Amino acid sequence: MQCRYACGDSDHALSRRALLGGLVGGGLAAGLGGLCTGTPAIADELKASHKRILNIFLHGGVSQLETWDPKPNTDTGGPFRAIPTSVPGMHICELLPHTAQQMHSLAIVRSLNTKNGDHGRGTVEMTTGRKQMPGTEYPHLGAVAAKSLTPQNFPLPGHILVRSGGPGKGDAAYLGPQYDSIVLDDGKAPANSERPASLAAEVDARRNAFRMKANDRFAGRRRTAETDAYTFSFDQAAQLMQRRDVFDVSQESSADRDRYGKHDFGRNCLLARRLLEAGVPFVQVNHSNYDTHFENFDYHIEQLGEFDLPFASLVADLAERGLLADTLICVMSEFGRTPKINARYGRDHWGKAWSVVLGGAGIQPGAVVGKTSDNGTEVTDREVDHGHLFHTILRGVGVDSKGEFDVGGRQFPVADPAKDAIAELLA
Amino acid sequence: MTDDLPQIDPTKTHVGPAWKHARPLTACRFDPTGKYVFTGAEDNLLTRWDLASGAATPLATHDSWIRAIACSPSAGVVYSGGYDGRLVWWPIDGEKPEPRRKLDPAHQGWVRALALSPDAARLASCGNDKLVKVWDAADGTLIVELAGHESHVYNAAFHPTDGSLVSCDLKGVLKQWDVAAGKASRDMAATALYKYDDSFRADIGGARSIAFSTDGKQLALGGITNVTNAFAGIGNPAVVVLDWESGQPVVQYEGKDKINGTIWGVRQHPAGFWIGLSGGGGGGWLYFWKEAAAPEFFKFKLPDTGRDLDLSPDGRSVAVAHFDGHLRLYHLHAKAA
Amino acid sequence: MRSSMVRCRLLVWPRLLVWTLTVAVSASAAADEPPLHERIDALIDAAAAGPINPQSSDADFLRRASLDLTGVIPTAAQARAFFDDPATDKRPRLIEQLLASPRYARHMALSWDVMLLERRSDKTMKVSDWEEYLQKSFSENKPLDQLFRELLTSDGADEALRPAARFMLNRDCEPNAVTRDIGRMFFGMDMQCAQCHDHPLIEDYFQADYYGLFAFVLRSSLFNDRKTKLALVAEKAEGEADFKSVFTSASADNVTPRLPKGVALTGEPTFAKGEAYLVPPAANVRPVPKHSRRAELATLLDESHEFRRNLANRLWAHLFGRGLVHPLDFHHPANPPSHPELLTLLADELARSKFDAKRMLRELALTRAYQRSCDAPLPTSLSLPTAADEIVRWELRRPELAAKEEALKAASDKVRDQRKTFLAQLESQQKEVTALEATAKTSGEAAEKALAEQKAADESLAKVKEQSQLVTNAALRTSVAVKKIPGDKVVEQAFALLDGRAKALAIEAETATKAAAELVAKNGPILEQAKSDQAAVAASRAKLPLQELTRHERAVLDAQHKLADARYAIAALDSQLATAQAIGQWQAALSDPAQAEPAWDSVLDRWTVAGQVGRLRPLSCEQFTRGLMQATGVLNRQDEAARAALEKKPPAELTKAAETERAGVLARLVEQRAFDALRKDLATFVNLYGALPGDDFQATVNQALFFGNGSQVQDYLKPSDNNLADRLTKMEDPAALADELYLSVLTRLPTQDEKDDLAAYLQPRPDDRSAAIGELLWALVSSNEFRFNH
Repeated sequence: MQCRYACGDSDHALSRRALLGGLVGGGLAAGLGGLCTGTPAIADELKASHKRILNIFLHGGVSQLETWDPKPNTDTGGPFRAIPTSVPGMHICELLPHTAQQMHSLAIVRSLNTKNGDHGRGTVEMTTGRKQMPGTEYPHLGAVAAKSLTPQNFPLPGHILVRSGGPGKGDAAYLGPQYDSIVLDDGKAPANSERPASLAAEVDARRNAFRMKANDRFAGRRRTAETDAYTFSFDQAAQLMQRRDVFDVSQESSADRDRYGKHDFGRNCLLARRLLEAGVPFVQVNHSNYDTHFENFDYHIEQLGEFDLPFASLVADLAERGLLADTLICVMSEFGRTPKINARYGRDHWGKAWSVVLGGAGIQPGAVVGKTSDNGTEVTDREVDHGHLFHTILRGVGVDSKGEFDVGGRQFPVADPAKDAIAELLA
Repeated sequence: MTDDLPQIDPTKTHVGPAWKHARPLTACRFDPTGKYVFTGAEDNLLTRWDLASGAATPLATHDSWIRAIACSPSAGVVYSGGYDGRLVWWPIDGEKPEPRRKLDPAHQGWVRALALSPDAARLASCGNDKLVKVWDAADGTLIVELAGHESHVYNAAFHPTDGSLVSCDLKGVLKQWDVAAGKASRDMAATALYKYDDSFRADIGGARSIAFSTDGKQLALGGITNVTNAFAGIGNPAVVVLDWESGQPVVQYEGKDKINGTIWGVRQHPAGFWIGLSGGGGGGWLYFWKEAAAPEFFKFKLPDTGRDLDLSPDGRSVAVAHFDGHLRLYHLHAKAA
Repeated sequence: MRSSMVRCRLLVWPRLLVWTLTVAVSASAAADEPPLHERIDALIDAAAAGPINPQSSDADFLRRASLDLTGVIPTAAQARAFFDDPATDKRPRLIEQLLASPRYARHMALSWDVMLLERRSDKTMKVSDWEEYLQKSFSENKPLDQLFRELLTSDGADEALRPAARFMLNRDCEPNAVTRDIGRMFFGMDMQCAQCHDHPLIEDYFQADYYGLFAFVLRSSLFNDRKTKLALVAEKAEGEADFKSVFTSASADNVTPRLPKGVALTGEPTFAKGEAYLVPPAANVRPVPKHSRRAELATLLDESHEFRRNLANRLWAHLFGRGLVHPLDFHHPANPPSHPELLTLLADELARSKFDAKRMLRELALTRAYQRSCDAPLPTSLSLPTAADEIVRWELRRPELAAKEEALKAASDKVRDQRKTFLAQLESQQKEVTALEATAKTSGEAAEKALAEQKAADESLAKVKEQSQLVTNAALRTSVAVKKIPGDKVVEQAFALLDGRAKALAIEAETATKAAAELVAKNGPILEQAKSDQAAVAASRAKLPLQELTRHERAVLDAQHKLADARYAIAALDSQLATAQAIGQWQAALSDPAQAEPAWDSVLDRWTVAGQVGRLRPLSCEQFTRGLMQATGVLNRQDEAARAALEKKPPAELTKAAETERAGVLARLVEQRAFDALRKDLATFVNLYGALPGDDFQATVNQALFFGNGSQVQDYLKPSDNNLADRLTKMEDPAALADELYLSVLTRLPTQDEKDDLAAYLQPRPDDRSAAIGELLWALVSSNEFRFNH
């Protein structure tokens, strides 16, 4: 992409920062910066520098008892046993043998009480960190992350959702469409990222050159941060098309593809690794489905059997490649499942006492926060909810979660002002 | 059977004695003398119920739920297989039976079912390691390990006369095994009992119960069909009956009314009719089918949903393991005047 | 066109103070006052620090006005006609035409839908009904206050106004959601944070303000009618607002309904037990109270100072792309208007004109401020006074403003004190009432008890009397028998028994009668007491000087508004000084370009906010999409199709219309059909480009990918029945082609350079000329000049 203007030109950088707002009162400033971008060097330099978030969303409501908070040999525990992990004294369910060996990189919060058993509401509240209110929409964690963490000159989208089922588009609400999720459905590249067959590359270049000439002429009349932003969006699209291979998991070694597994989730985790390596600030991978009102145990064997190895491989790879220090990992769900086992060997919706897992950037490795009662029917220590979690995740990647976003001169608290981070979980 | 007893008439089925266990039951089997019923439960215990006195004797050694139980007619042994992968030999009688033998692990992951050969010489077990294993019922030595299933093996049964072994997995794939050769001799299928639910992206099905007809001409597989919502167990109980010789389905028994449930137990009564236990969203039911008529000729509502069924050696009652913790007997004849 | 080109070069300087003052005075309406748009310009000119940009070219004006008033760009034909029109009044005439076009109502409906529902979907009613309601409202130029009243009062049951209920229904009638958005959209105050505590960022938004408004709506709720399957708004006759701060210990119960920064609601009607409802609550029944607090709120809108200013500010923003107060929903003392007198003038005029939106938009569009060029003046072409001189010029105003502020502060304090003393006295009276209520309660209970006793006594009396009567009769008859059958022992015994019993009962009856009488005597005073206590309560309530209270509150508010204006005037002066200083900094930095450029940028920003330079602003998603449809000829094709269909099969509405009306009706129906036909296309764009008013402008990579590679845009650019690509492909002469292309897309004629570039682009492509034309067309619709309103 040829450069139209003097890059790093102070006023443009400045006006663009002004335009893009970023954070008031601390946190990381977000901005698009100059227009010369897409050099391969950037990715490497990013790797060292900036923070990212990987959110794994186990859709349907995974059972805390079959994962992070096992209660073997109790009336609610179910048939599975607890196994030791790579963290002395920390046990998780036997359905996660591979993950167990990565727990030294992760931490468990066992004391969530989100007081909700509705799928829709759970999805919204867990991913926005706010109580759902009619007529009010809050930005998805991915939008907040993209706005706060996307580095200048970054050629790729800042908020990517990799899904095969599970929740759809992550909404940016008042942060604006720039921070909506780009959705990669069943491992496909973003919509419209492929040049139509009818449009040869040189033709596209030609018409763009004509567009830019028109823009230069118009800039002679009036040029603002907004006109620059519009021009830049076309540059960014071109760069994304150039780097379309980032979304192509088939470029990974067949060894890795075998290791991660041939199923959707395995492929999606490998794609997530690829995106994080490319420096994408926020990646969410959905895994569907855990809504096991019937045969909870059979289904958790099947679904966690799919989850365990690719997830563990991803954690191990990120650690090995030195990305874990800059990448915060979260494994969440809309809620947990009832300790009581119903007549159909199922567990039902339950938000009263359940668990999530965090790890990587800014998170105490191997920590366990909070407790539930012996048979898991209630939180007995350090009760927290989605609000605290949201603060913690952002603090983990260095965002001042008590700060505000400035959008068109209006201030929006980054996270629920009535909540705060789980301090003991922060490294 | 002595003549002064009321004759078998499933339409006169009524609730007999019941005994309560502390936690929901998962399985039940009569011992061949009809003296005891053994149950598994959500508390890792095998429990021996003395039907005369109602005395319950807990047999503890498993580390997880027990859903696989078999009793030897002669040797006085009860075998239990657990979700802990263990296979345990117990004496049937005695004040306080202690394990005679433990195979730990007999399988990687759950042991889902046990079957005893007609001559009681061999014990077959199957489980989540996708294997079927045949053991010497007396000394527990492994005779053969049968691989070939591509999903969890849910059930196994020995043919009553020719002694051949058959197993069925989650996806409704049946394998008849040439035990001597250690490989499958033929594949059959009960496709009606399996489905991949696209919206939940998970498998649902398998033979939740299995039984040969008394004459060995038919093989019945119980489970769930017409599944519209796997994770809520929305589907109908069904028994797929195969012609053993051809391996082809001859009839698929279902209920007249489409209630939600799964066939957790199936048996053919010596009198010729089939009995199926349905448990699930629609509550507990005993279904009675005969010949090739798909709809039942009678069904009996149970006080609570059931999870396993066995037919008494004298054929006059069935035992049902209930979610509410009760072991209940149901008599298949009119109440004695 | 040429004339304005000429004007571009000279720079108009604002007239000086003297004039402003006279204007400021004449702002209080008089018969001989100049038209509103002149008074607006006078205020803006007078506030200008530095030069004022010349008027925009005809091209910019035509495009700008068409986009702002009808939501689409003009066609090439319209552009040609306008440019060729030599008349001097063609701009006012254009404004009239645009306001009269059916697209005006469409554009307003689209913009207000986004403003009121913020692109949320819901299933409470057919979206088209809601759109039609808004569109009808604007085509009939329904007074804005009425529109807002309907949004509040419609409960969805009345067919005619059902769509208006969507404002409530879309928010599930959830009182907090509704409170927040009424605060924002009706009064320009986003008090959401004040729901849980006084606003952490805005000193002036209190939890009490929030709950004062909340109290109007907390009795409303969503009701799903089982039979009709309709979602409706229900309202109860009871329920009060209480709050507790999550930060401080502050709290309040039974908060009186109160407009934000308005007077508390007094003398709310009270009803006796069971009298409060037209339709009392019951299972599956929608309660309807006799007194609706939502309706009450609706009646109060007109008197709200904040409501007027908010609407005026929103109409201004509709045409200028930014509010005088900005952001639109943050009216508060720490966020002063850029032009305080102007906002006050517009608010007053809006109220005076009965909230006539069209009139206000017309006047705004007529201003020189609106028609100003947005081109950045060339620094070199400016001969600016030294910052020092400017500063002195502005500082001259300060003493006067400061004195005014001081005086008004004193006045405000005075009325506050008066209210304080009054409140103290009111409180003691209130105490008296409360005390009386307490006594009345006790005596009332006593009375009820007494009456109950009396009832019981009367009943037992009646019983005894009856018995005694019966037995006496029996005794009499037996006495006859005794006489007739002398010596019969049995009969004599029977008589003796009966007679004895009869006498006994007679005595019992007598005592019971006496007892009852005594009871009545005893209870008399108790009942009297109760009655008089009730009367006393009523009397002392009536004595509460509530009008007085309102009068005091109004006085305080009035003083506060005056004081606020004075302070805003000082804030405005400070910002003018800041501009003067910014100019100074730029002048100082001239030697060093790296410094000069940002300095110049900030000067330019200040002039734009001050209305001295036109604002370059992105098109809304709807303007962009429909502009694209217009440019490429998609819109026109749909119009023609619709017109053909309507002429082929004219609907009753058309045939029944009076001759004079018909053209208008036809135009409206055509517009409607064409819009419906393109609804899906618009939705695709909204999904990608749809932002909310007040959001920062954002250009996303999804948009660019869609615009570059998406099939929808490609289709618009393919030649087909007389769309733009088709017309251009048929043109041989590159110069004519260039004219048509630039007029259609950019509403202007191409420069010679542009003509040359275009010719150069086409020249080597004789074989795939049509493809090449498609590329050029794409390049222009994706250019900044197309994406922005200039």
